[in-house]
Amino acid sequence: MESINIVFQWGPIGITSTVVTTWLLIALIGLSAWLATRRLSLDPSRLQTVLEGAVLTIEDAIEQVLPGQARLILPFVGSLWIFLAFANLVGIIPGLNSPTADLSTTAGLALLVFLSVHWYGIRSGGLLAYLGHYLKPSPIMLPFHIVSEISRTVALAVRLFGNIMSLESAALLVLVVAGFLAPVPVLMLHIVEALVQAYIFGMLALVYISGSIQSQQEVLDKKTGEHP
Amino acid sequence: MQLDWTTLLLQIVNFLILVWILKRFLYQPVLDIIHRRQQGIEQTLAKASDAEERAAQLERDYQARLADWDKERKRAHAKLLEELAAERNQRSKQLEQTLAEQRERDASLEQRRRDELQRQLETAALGQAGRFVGRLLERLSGPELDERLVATVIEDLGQLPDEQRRELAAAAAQPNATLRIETARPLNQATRDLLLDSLRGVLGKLPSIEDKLTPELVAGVRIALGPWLLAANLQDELSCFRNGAYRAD
Repeated sequence: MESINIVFQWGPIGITSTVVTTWLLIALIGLSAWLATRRLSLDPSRLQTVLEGAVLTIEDAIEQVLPGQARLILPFVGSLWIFLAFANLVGIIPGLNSPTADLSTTAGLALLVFLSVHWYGIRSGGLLAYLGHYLKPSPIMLPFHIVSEISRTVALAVRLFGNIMSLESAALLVLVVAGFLAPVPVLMLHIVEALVQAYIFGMLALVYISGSIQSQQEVLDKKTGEHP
Repeated sequence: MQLDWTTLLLQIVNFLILVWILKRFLYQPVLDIIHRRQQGIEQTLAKASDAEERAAQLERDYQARLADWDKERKRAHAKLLEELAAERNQRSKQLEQTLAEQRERDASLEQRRRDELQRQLETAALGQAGRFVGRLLERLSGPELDERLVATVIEDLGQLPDEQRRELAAAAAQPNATLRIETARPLNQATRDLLLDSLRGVLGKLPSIEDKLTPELVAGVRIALGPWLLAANLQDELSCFRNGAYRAD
């Protein structure tokens, strides 16, 4: 079992390399966003066009899954995609490890997704209505719903962690066995796999959130007599 | 595979911070600028739509105005045609009237010209007739004609009204009264005596007598007493004939 790599100690809190790398990524992403958006104009430059295209692509993807709620979900899901893309790819830089290769990071993100699902569900239909859907179609289904919630959260965390950790391990193994030329295709595979895993994690989070919102929306529709 | 709760919590906090940063510095500015651009596009489209609507309205107004103008033009054209027809009729009537007046004037002038021509022809004919009769009478004149003309004078003197007789007598009674007797040739004594007797019967007493030969008389006698003149000769008769012809004009 791998020991926890603490870089420095901040009082009682041990700061690991995962946290430091995450801080670097946050600084990089935040600085890039600030630099890219500080001089936006109605007549867009190439960089602004690319930036607007990326944001609109994310918004359109959310809009297709959850029509009418894109602006509400965009900050969370979009940040998931952006952070995971950077976090998964940072492992290809020598000397840095992907934060997502640490189960603590993926578990924390999965826990955030778990909480956000309930947050958006309660916000959409109210606490009682949201809790009531666990008893649908029958109260007998309550344990299964609970197990489902926990298992999919765990699966979300472990899937991302396992894929990224295995990618880095495989790359390290190939580097050790085959030298420096062989890892190039592996690195290409790493890039593709990193982006795919980021997309999968964000899309699953979006699906879970949209499931909770839509179930509450159906409850509200039944109450108001609207039958789509 | 080791789960560090501290790292887990820090990563949760880190991600929430990232969400705030991206929302603050990426999503919000980009979506705002997109929204502003969409608003600008919508405003431009609305302006374009308004401009299109205004253009369509202007086109409708223009078409309506054109239709009105066309109607007005047709009305004006019809009115103009009516006025032209009325003017033409009026001018035609005026022309016909003028032509009628001109024809009447021409006819009058023609009639006058014909009358003048006829008068000239008659004058010329009378002149010729006078000259012809004058030459004929000159050839026929002689003592016999003188006697007959003197007989005519004597007959006329016998038929004078009383009033003229008294006036002649008064003229003869004037102190310097002269009875002038003009003849074309000398009268024979018997004829002269008959004439003097006849004059004495009218005048009562004869004043001094002045005999005068005037060949221009052709034949006959001309007797003058003061303002009175008693003529029975061819010159005076032909002259009267000619003057009578002129007065007849």
